Amino acid sequence: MVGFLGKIKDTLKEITYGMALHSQVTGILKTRMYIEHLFTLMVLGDMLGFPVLPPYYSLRLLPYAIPNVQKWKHRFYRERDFTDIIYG
Amino acid sequence: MAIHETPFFMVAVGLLIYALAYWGYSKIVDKKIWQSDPTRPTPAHLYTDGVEYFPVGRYVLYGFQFNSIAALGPILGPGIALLFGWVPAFLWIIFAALFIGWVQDYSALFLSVRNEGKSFGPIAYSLVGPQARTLLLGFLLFYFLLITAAFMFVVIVVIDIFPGTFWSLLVLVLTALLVGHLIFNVRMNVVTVTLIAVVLLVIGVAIGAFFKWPPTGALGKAPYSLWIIPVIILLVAGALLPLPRLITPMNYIAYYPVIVAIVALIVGSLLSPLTGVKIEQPAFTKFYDPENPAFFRSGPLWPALFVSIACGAISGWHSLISTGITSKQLDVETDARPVGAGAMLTENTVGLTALAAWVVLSPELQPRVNPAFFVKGATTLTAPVFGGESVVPFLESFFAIYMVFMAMTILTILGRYWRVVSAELFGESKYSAVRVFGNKYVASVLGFVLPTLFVLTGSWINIWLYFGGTNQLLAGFALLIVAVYLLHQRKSYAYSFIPGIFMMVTTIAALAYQAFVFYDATVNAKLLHPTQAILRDSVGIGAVIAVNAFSVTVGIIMFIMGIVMFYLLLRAMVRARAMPQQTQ
Repeated sequence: MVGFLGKIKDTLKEITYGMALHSQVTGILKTRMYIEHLFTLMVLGDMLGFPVLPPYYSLRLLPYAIPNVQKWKHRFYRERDFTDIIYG
Repeated sequence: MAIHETPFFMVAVGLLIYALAYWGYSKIVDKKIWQSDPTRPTPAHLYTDGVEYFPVGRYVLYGFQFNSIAALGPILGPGIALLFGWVPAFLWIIFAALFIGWVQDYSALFLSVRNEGKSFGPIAYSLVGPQARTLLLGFLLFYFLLITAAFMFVVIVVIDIFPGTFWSLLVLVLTALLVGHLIFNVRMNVVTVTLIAVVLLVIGVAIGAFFKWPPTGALGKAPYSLWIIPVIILLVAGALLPLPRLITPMNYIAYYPVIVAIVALIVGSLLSPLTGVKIEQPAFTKFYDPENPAFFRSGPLWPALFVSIACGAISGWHSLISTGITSKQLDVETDARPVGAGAMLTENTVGLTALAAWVVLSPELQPRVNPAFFVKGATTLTAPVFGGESVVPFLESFFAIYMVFMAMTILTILGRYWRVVSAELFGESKYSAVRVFGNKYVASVLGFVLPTLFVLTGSWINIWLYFGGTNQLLAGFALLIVAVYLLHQRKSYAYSFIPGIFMMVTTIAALAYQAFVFYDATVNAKLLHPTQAILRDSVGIGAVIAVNAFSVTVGIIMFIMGIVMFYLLLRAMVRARAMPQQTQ
């Protein structure tokens, strides 16, 4: 009986997730995909030495893919230690 | 009171037929025609990318599919169909549920699954030809224009009758902004944010129930033209703000009142023999009466009835959803039936319960006149279940919000679509006069100006039948594409071909008739609807003629597109018959 009720609970949970959140999750994943496409297009050519996109255009496009380059640099160079793991 | 005089009767019979469709007919089609195979890899497994293609459980996908296809179509369509009496409307809903509705959703899903998860455009290209894809794009632009017009009309007339709804809508928008901030910026737990949102929505319902300002009629004779301004401001904000700021959280939180409303309507219908709510609308009226303006504007029972009930019976929109995302995430082929057919039959149930809410309206409230009357019907049906007279203001506020939320969530997405497409088309032009149309503010406003021309016709029936005609035409298109594919495979295609032909012929006839109605009003300088007197008195008869002429033009374009599509599909059938069998 518990197994049956548990199954019903899981089913309802999944249907609710599907109705309420799945389209939002898919939409967010797609947005990330487009940004990744742009980023790959910009950096992959230089990385491989294959001219997918000339560096001039890569640098022009970079602020669109990563609007906050300054913030990204700040995050990237910021010192991290174990307290960052604890407090995020 | 006899049980057949209550909405229970129609809902119970309908549910039995739906059970037959799901466990009988759809099972036969699944086994004999598509031969679903649980071991055959689906595109979700073949092309897994974690973004578009990835396997998702059947229940999640069922919930997603249902939420994506559920809109105002099944709610409002039955109200227009009541012009011919509730029995024809009821018969069409259950007939379509058995033989046409799920057939389209499920088959389009399976068609895409068997074609690498391709979307509708590429499938049309490969099976029918390049012209089909171009036509589909043009067709969709007009389709979006008509949906926008129909849903804007609903929002403003509901707000006009229930003015508190506008303040509830503002609460929704503010709640959505807050939810977006809490989820995406503060990174708060989704469950906690949801609870906060639900509490705020309940407050919104209470505000709508008691803060009825300005009272109906206070805006004079032009409620449509006045309410449309704040509504457009909200919609433009939706088109301009980033998705996670407003649209994403608004769609998420609007889901909760929608699902509560659907459950309340089902409960209200099934308990009607106990609550004493009975059918008040006439069972039959007439097939056609050209002397009666309502009949003249809608046209004869055929084709008008078959395009009016839209998504409650069958809808072309669903094939876009089936082939757009669902087919890319189907885990196993045997899930296609619960997801495609199951979600559509649930949508049919919504249509049936909406019909139940319409038929309990007293005969002097004619459903075709004003879509906002649905709120009255839904309240009449459910009030005895939830506490009688004392809860009527809350229920009215709640069902009004339900209609407005459903319309607004779609409208904001369409507004955004217009803005992005306009930026693409005009933004890079070398002429500054053209570039203006690509400006995000100009494009966002213009996206709602063209539909407003339809709204200014003031004739709810015509706007809806135009929308229904294009919607069902797309459904006919999808059904015939499925038939072309099955013919290529040398499989039995009649189950899709016959409904496809019926829908194509019916919708083309409906569009032709509607274009004729607008043409008649244009050449004779007639007012199509009393509301047009506002436009005549404020601007002049020339404005009325221009608005009607615009509608004629759209109708003629849709009619020609429909004919060309039909020809292309029939040509594709003939070619498929002549070609050797394709195997997969």
